[in-house]
Amino acid sequence: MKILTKPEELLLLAVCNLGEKAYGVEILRFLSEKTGNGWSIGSIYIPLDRLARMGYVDTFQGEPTAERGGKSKRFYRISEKGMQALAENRKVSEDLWSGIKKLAKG
Amino acid sequence: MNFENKKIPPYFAVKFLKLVSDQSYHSSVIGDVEEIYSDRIESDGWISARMWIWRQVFSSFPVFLSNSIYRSLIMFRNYLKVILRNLRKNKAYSLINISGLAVGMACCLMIMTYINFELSYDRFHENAEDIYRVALRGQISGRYMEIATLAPPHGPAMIKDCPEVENAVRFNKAGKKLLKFEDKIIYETGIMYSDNSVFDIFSFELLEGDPLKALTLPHTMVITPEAAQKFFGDQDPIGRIIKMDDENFTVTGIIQKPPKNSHLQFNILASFETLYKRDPNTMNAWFNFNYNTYIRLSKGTDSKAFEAKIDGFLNNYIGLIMRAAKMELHNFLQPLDSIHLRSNLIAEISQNGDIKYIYVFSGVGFLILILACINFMNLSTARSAKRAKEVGMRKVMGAERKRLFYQFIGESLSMSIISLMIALILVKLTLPFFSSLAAVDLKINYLDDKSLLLGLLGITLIPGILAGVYPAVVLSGFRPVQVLKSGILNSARQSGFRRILVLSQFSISIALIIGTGLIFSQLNYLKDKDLGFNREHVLVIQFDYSMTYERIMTLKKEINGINGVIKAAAARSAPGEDAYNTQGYFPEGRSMSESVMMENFSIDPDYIGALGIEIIEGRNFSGDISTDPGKAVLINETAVKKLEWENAIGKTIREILNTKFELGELKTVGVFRDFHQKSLHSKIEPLVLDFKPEKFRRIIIKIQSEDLGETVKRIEDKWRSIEKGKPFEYFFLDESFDKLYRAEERLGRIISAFTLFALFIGCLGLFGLASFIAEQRTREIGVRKVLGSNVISIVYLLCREFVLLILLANFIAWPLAYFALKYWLSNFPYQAPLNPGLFISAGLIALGIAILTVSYQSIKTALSNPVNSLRYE
Repeated sequence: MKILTKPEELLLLAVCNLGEKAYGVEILRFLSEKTGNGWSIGSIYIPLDRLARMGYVDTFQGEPTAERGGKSKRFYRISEKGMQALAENRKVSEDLWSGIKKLAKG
Repeated sequence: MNFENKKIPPYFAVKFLKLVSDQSYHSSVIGDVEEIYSDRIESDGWISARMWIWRQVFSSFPVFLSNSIYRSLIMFRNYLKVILRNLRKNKAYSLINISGLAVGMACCLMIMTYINFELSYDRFHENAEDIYRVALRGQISGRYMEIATLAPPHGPAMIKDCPEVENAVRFNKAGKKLLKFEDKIIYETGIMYSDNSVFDIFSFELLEGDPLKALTLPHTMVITPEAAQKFFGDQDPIGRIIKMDDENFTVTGIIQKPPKNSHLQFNILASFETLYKRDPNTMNAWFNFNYNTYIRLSKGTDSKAFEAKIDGFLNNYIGLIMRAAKMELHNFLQPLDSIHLRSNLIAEISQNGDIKYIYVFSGVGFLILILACINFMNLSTARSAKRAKEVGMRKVMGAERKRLFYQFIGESLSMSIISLMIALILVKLTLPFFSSLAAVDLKINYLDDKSLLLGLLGITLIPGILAGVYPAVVLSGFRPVQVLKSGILNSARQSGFRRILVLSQFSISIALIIGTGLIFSQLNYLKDKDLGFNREHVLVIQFDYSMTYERIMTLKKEINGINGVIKAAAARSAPGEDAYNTQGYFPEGRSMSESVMMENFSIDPDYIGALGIEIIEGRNFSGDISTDPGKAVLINETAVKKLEWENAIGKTIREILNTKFELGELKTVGVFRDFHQKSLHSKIEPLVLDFKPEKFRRIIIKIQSEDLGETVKRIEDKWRSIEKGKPFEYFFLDESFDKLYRAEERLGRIISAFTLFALFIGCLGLFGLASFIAEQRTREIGVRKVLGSNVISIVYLLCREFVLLILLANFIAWPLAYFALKYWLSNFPYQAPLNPGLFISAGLIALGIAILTVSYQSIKTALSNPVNSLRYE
């Protein structure tokens, strides 16, 4: 299995959460809201491209719209393989967390 | 302010941000950026939007950078793999290619180091750019001269008269002297008289002693540690007394020996004040041009303007006399760092280099690098046909032309980097040999020398890119369908280009061979030319003026009695020594304002016989005629012509005897046939030989050729028994004459070495090319053999093209070499004839070597069994 990096994991989760709305602007907004950090354009697209190359997300071009000056949106959707990777990564971190009783009890 | 403009995000920011994604998605990234940007404008205003977008650019930068480095590393790994695979797959080809380039680079590097060294002369002085030598030019006795020396009062007068001159220093070469310290009597060379300001103007390091007053008093000297070691061993030299010319000199300092790249070289500096003490009259004379004078101008002085100002400096002091004697003298400046390479005046302080040789060597270095590049290019293009399939495959897999272009450039660059590594090792190993060849002590210090580093970069990048560009353009332009279908692509254009390369390569090689041949033939010509006297088996003993006339005569008589000695003579100097005078004479029938400059030195009656000089009119000097010593002269044919005398015998010449301008009369008793008393670099000048025994400094001995060593031994024993304790200093005339052509000999040796390298590189390339072509035509040859061709016709088939190319190369090389050599030869008044045989034999040599190189491959291919070759592929 492949251990995802934290940005990769967060991006995958964001893409899942956003569902049909998942394109660059939304993802950036979503992650910035949730984490409170400023995410840069580069820190979104470069890992997303990598995830796409590895087959964890599928991408497709939306229809060009007039409001964006004829530039189409590029949507992301998590793939089967991506879901699997997320699940595996979650399992690993839960396994690891479960060993730490003190923190888990909180 | 135009608000509409602010709605559009800044061009550069967008341009950069889109790079964070794959190319095909650029437009949607731009869309996203624009969307957020316009949202920001609506919510927070354009300033905040602007700030946001620039923040994006900066915060995306690190991610972008690491990503792009990562990606290019992946590609680089792939390219490196392909390069290494190619190297390994074609071992012979890679070896030829890399070694050819490495040898070329090594040659080039060595030449660069040499040139660097020559150019570095005298630049180590702290104030080098403000130091000038003041020289003299003008008409003296109807002859234009440029002289590197001035009169003694000149320097101090310049300090007094010109506010720009901060300081001046005068040098007077004393040369070789016999020095005594206690029981040690040693001939020391490199002795100069100099002002104390030498320490102020130049940066020679005074190791011990006070730079403000080490040389201010008469009879003081500073010496180098090496010289001190000879005299004093481990004792402290300061304050010790050395006897020179029967005067006692106190050692007042230790001075570091000047670095090799200084045109001022000395072992001992004696104080200039000594000369004043010895003879104040001559030192105040304005017509005593014997002192090399250097000045330092104050910072920021316009040297051109200053030069114009001092042009007529002498008019203020000796204007009247100059006008009376119809003399015209001007001063000019020579920048310190230009002296070594660009100055060749009368009375130079040391043997200078020649900027022409720097040009020649740069040219040769450049040609060799070109040769190596051509090789490299040639072989790369030849190989390219073989790689057509790879290119096709890469293109099918989606490689862009640009990527392929970079790949091939990268390949040739890495080849040239590998070659550079090997070249550096080669240079390290061979530099000592080259140093002795060029007779300079070369050291390479890569890190300290910016121009050398730049040169290294140049000789790596230029061949790498030059050699890479052509194959890169051709290969990356292949059409995948075509090359994948046929497998091989061998266009006529390519082989045409290769032919031009081979042609130019051999033109260069042939021109270099001709050059080498001609330099040596000129050298032999200079060495073998009849000089008008016999220089074989002539021994010359040197001594200084402390030898009295009586002692010289005793010695001469004793030596004449030695078994094996044919004749001994005494004289001021032997031919080829730089120890003659050029002085003004006033011949009979001309006014006193018309002096004639003629060379002169003193001989005794035996000189003519010992050297086999021919008297063609009148008689030789005679010891029995009392009016001969000091009052008679012999003159050469050139002098007769110059004086325009019908019958020279019995005519008188007057000369100035002393500083009070008293005249002496000399009667011409004989005319002798012209002989070369100087090297063949200069024409025969009018020469006057007088008979003044007080000037004798040499005994010239003609010896029988049998038992030469024994005879020399007997002469030495005789010397030792008469001149107890004085070193026996002698040389052979033929050897000393040969030494005058050292510069040409050095040039010849260096050029021939590089010619060999050039040939080697050319042959490597030819060999590679021949084997490649043979390989390509394997099947054709197999078929020809099956159909009945014999070995000879196949070898002929394979060699024909190269032979034709080399024949053609001759026609390019000949005129090039001819004009270059004509130019070089114009330096010599006596030139070896340009022999057409030289040109033809150079062509034949190149042809022979090329045929040898090519035929190995051709014969191998021609002899191979057609069964094997037809099964090929």
